[in-house]
Amino acid sequence: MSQTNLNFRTNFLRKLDPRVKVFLFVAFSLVVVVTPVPGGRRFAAYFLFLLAIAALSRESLARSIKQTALLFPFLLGLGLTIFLFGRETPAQKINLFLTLGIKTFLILLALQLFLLRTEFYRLLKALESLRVPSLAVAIVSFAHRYLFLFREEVGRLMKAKESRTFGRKKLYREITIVSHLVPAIATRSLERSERIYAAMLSRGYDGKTIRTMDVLKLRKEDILVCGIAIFFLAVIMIVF
Amino acid sequence: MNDKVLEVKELSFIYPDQTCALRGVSFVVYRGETLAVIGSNGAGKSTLLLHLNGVLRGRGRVEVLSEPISRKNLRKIRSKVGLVFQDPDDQLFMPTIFDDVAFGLVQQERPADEILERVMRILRALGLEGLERRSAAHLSLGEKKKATLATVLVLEPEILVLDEPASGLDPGTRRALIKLLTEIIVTKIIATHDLDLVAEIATRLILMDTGQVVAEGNPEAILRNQDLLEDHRLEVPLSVVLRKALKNTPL
Repeated sequence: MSQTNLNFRTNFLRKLDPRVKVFLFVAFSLVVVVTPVPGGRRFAAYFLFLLAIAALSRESLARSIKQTALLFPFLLGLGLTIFLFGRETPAQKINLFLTLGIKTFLILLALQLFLLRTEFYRLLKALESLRVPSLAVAIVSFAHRYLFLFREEVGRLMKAKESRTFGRKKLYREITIVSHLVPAIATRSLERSERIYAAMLSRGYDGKTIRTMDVLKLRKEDILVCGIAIFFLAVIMIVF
Repeated sequence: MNDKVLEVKELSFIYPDQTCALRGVSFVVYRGETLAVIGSNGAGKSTLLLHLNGVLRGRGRVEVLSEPISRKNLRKIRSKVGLVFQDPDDQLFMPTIFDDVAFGLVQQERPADEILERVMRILRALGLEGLERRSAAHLSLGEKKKATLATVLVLEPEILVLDEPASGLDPGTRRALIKLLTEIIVTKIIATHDLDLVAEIATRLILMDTGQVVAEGNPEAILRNQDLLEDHRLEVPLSVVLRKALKNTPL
């Protein structure tokens, strides 16, 4: 059993139809984005909403927060541009930065909770059945499938470089070598893509849509959970 | 045995970079036989295989079950000629093994029940049951090789074409794969430079060099011909050398 499959579909959130999860994620993100500023109480309620879902499904929100924290440097970069280039007053700038930060944090948290803990192939099936263009789904699918191989390929080239690098490393020299490696990686990727395309053709691919078998079945529980979640989001928007 | 299933006539192919990969290749394949295509690197074996189900289209003629390959019948031809690529990572491109094995059937727009039944049957037969929801990235090379076979066998082809099926495998996995190949009752065309494998399973052999067929016939006779093999950058396989030596050694 691969590590990624461990502890799979053991709680209600993981059992939930991936289409419902995609829908809930999009709905939650939209609600968060359109929340006017200041919306302190609403943001707290959204956080509690996610916390409740995490608690009910026994998912660790702390882990999600930790993973989301990896993106904080980018947020700081964004904050810097607001402070350097904005025409607002300092108080407005701080408010804008905090709002953006909180909104991004909430959306990333929802992404972690709803989508990133879903089996990848189920997520792709969900995107397909939600009528996301098949080319876009195929690009995501191939990127995920071949990311490992790409990393291995780059690793092999870097090892080959290291094994023939002597003496002290100089930055200029390193940049020159890496700039030679990039076209080599691109060529290898292109060659592989041609072989994959040939393999697809030889099994009847017609060069148009990549069809897969639909294995998703919407259950009553999925609709119920979706309905309850949307109801609570609406309550937060109206009451707070 | 004389039921012709595939015929290649005067086939030539030049890649866009002007490399001439095939030069007037002609041969015939009969039903039920295992034809080995041997040759050194760059001999044109893989290019030839890509012509057998119309992935590449060169000058000349390729007939499958007495039907010349054309744009119109490509779909039919590809369901008759199953091509297994050398590198399993080229052939296993879908998110799960199930999707990969089902890929050809889904393209043929078969009913869902039939697809499910056929995919699970072939996975069971090849000992891959339980791996259907796994990504190819998490399989061993031996499992990947079996999975690539499954992607093609599920289409129930009349001709199975394999490019270097045993390359990179450890001895145990290689042995298991050879056993599996001998158990599959279908016409097989195997391109390889693993001459021990050829000695074991081929019923007929063609030797290629620089895009041409330079010898054709009985595997035993060709694999014993040291001069011929060495002239074309190959060597007599160890299994044949040992067999010959043992024959001359009194027990």
